Amino acid sequence: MYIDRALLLVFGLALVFFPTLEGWVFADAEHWYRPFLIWFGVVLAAFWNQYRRGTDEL
Amino acid sequence: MNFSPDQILLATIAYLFVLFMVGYAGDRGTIPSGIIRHPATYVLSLGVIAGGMASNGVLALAAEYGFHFLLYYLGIALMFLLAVLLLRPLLRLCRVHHLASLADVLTFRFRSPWVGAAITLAMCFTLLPLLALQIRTVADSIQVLSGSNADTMVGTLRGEGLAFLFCLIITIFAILFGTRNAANPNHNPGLVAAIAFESLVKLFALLALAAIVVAQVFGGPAGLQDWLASQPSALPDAGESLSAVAARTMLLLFFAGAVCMPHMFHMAFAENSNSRHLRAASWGLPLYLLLLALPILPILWAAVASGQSAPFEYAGIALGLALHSPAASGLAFVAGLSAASGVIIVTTLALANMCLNYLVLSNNLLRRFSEQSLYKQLKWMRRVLITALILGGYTFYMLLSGAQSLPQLAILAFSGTLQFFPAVVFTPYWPRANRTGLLAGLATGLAIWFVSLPLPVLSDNTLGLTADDGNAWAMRCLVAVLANTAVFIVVSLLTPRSRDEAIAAEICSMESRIRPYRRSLVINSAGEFSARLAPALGDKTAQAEVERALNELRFDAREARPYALRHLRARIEANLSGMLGPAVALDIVDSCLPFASSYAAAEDFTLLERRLEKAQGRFTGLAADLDNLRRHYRQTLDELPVGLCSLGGDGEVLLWNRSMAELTGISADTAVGSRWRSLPPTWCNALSAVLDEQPDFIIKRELPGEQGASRWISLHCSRPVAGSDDQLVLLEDITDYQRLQDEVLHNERLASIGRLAAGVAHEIGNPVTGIACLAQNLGYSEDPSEIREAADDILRQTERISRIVESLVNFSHLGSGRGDLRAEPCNLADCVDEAIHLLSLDRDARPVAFNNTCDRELLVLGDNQRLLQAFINLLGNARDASPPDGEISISAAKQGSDDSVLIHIDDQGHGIPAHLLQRIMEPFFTTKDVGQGTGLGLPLVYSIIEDMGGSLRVESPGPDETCSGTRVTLRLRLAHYASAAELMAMASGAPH
Repeated sequence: MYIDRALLLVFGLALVFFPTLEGWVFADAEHWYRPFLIWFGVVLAAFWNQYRRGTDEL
Repeated sequence: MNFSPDQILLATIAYLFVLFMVGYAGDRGTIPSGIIRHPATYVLSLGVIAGGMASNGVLALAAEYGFHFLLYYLGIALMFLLAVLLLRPLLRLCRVHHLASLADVLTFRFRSPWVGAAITLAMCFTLLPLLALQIRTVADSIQVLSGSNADTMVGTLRGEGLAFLFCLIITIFAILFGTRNAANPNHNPGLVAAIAFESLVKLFALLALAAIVVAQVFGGPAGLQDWLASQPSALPDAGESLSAVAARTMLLLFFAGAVCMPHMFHMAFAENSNSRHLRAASWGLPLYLLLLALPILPILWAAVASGQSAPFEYAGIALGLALHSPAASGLAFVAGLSAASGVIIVTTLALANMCLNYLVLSNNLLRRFSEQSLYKQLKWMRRVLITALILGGYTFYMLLSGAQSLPQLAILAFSGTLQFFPAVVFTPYWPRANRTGLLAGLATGLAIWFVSLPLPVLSDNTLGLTADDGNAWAMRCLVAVLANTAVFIVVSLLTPRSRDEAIAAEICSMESRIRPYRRSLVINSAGEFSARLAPALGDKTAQAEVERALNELRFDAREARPYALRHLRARIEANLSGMLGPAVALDIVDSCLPFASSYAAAEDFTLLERRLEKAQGRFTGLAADLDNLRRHYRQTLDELPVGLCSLGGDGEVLLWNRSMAELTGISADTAVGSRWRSLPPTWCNALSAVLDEQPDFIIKRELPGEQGASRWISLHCSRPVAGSDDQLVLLEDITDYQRLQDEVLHNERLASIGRLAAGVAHEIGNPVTGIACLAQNLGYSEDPSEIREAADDILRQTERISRIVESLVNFSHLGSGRGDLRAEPCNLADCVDEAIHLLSLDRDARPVAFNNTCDRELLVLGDNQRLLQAFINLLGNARDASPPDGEISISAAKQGSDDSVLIHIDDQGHGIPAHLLQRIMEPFFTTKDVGQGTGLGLPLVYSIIEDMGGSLRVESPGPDETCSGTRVTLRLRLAHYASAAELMAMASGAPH
């Protein structure tokens, strides 16, 4: 089972810094787009992760 | 402005008709297969998870919990972002073992039809709230769109009537979608196309609705930002509205729902088996959900800003009506309709298949009529089940008091399906889990869930989701799933698991590799399959299934290769699995098409190699390096200048390289996968002969060649490959070599005659001189007795000459040296005597004494003339090495152990130095002076003896004191007389 270390690192950092991030991301309704920006960044990371590595399954 | 219910129903029918036409076009191939099979289509089809909750319910969630509404999307997205943990192993299992539902997976893992039935029943029950949610979404949307008071629409006859109408319409379309392909209900390219279209519709509708309402209410995005700046409390504080436990529970619910929900499972694993598509979905579905979530807050704020009073779930429709924008209202309605209809269609289709496989077929409730096609019966059963499920959802909708919001219904449904999550996780990760633990844990979890969640809801108690209610629902969900997990683990540890479960656990394990095995079927040809399957499927269905599998594999009905028959069996099982479920399909195939033995023979490398060839270029990293190495060695074997074939212990041809194909005229495609005994008789006999011999034994065979000319081949069989029964056979064309050898043999024979020529001339000269003298004396003699005596002397001398000439003539012929080795009993002592006699004709040779002590009755199997040639060479060498008046002894003894004869030729000569002993068999190697020897004698003797199935060994000095020079030992096969008649025939030289 291969788990991309980069993706694990992203999730690990997110977990560690979530309390700090939470305050900034969900500050107020005026900056309602911030969670979506973070979300888009995760999507990009996932795209890059699967793009680099092919599958070794038959 | 409002819409009339008739207009709305007509629009509903029109939309569903468009959806159906998209599906129809997909099935018929009107939509290019490149689009149907594109990863983007697969990703969009997974949007089926976003039902009425995504189009309407999240508005209420956002109004209540602020940013926590994102948990609905994030839970699902997280499952796909971490697809490697759970989704990829499930996909692998489903693809290899043809599993199409969660019930299939858990039945396969835990090896019990009770598990399948329990999962199916539980799934049907826990999904009633989900179906009710979709019905509520559409029915209430119709009411709002038609201008009904939002507060009074609940629980009215009008509302229930609209809901029933919608159920009726959706039932018709669900039946049309789900039962068109009775033979393969789990592979519907049309359904994939339709659901992907539906996902695009609801995404577009929501985004367009948001754009319209933001433009009309706020005057654009800038206006929205200005309004938000002036409204600090535009969103509830997430921390206050939903506790951390409740938030995490909500995340868990939707995380588990992404794999446990049957409609999601069906689109993710049953309609797709391509792991590359799953990789695309790992980022594609989160992106789709992001876009789906983006317009929710703007729509919500537009509803708040405009002051409309409808429930937030239907804020989009109410906004459109308030703004007098039919487009906005229509878009909001279409978003909800497409979301709800997609969920209902796919959910009921998936559940209907599960009910058919585990509640109907497994209990033999479906009677088979031999005159009716099984397909028709299955189609009607699915229609009945789809109708029953939708009516069940409607019934649950009716039982609800109507006070429950869409999020509450969603949490009911997702918390129910959460009870399957422990089993899904344990399947690849915990081999110790057993079915007793699963059933006990599931019963515990579902009991707690039912008592704590649906029952209060049905009792007119609302399911409090707010902080004021203490977020009790979250604790109830967690208690149910934790109790489920705990009981599952404890019972699994305390109860034994069966052997089948252990094997299945190993197969499902994360580290397990799926290895195909090579096993023999009891069936010998593809034509027998129909008759074998008829008792289980009926004649027509059996024939249709076999023909379908043959067409898909492009096999002929006369196919008899074991590899192809295995492939055909697997394809029939896969097709039946899609139609009847994997458990029933496995039972049918195991009973009707059994393997010859109950244990797997060996790994099916032929199938593995073909799969690797198909997957060429897709590997990365170490797998790519290993595949390149495999190809390199494979090509090396294929390009060998000698024919090479590998034969399995069961007689199946595993490898057939290019040289083998050229030498035999049988292509690799024909040979590989077939039994070597089914090859043309010429090659079957040749392989049989070499396999009957001991390993490392080389046999030679003469085969008819082109235009009457013969060709020679040699076959060499290796010892069995370590760890298996496989054997390698090397085939080489030795025609040129054999012709050369025959020429050498003939020349050596003539050279031997040449060496004897001087002695022969002398031997003939003596009696001729004697005859001349006697004849002269006859002229002067008158005494009749003297004349008679002289005549007798003359006759004796002529007989002597005749014998010498006859020996030379017979020796020079030797079958004309053209390879016609005749294996017949030869008298050993006579052959040695003949050789000694011929050698004694050479008067210039060193005088030695030959002592032939071979048993006069001993017979060996061989060609008499070639044996004579061999003895002449060996005795001649012994004589040349012996001192004058030396003795050369020839003895023979039977070897009882292997029915052979050992012949020893001992001389008292100078022996052979150790450093030369290794080289004496080399052609043209000689220690004699130039002109005295050709160096071909011993190699020729070796070849002659080997052709006779014997062996030659040279020891110098001899093994004991009686042999101070060199001992040559021949081993030849012992021959027997079959009868006295044969003895007589041999003596007279007549054929026998």
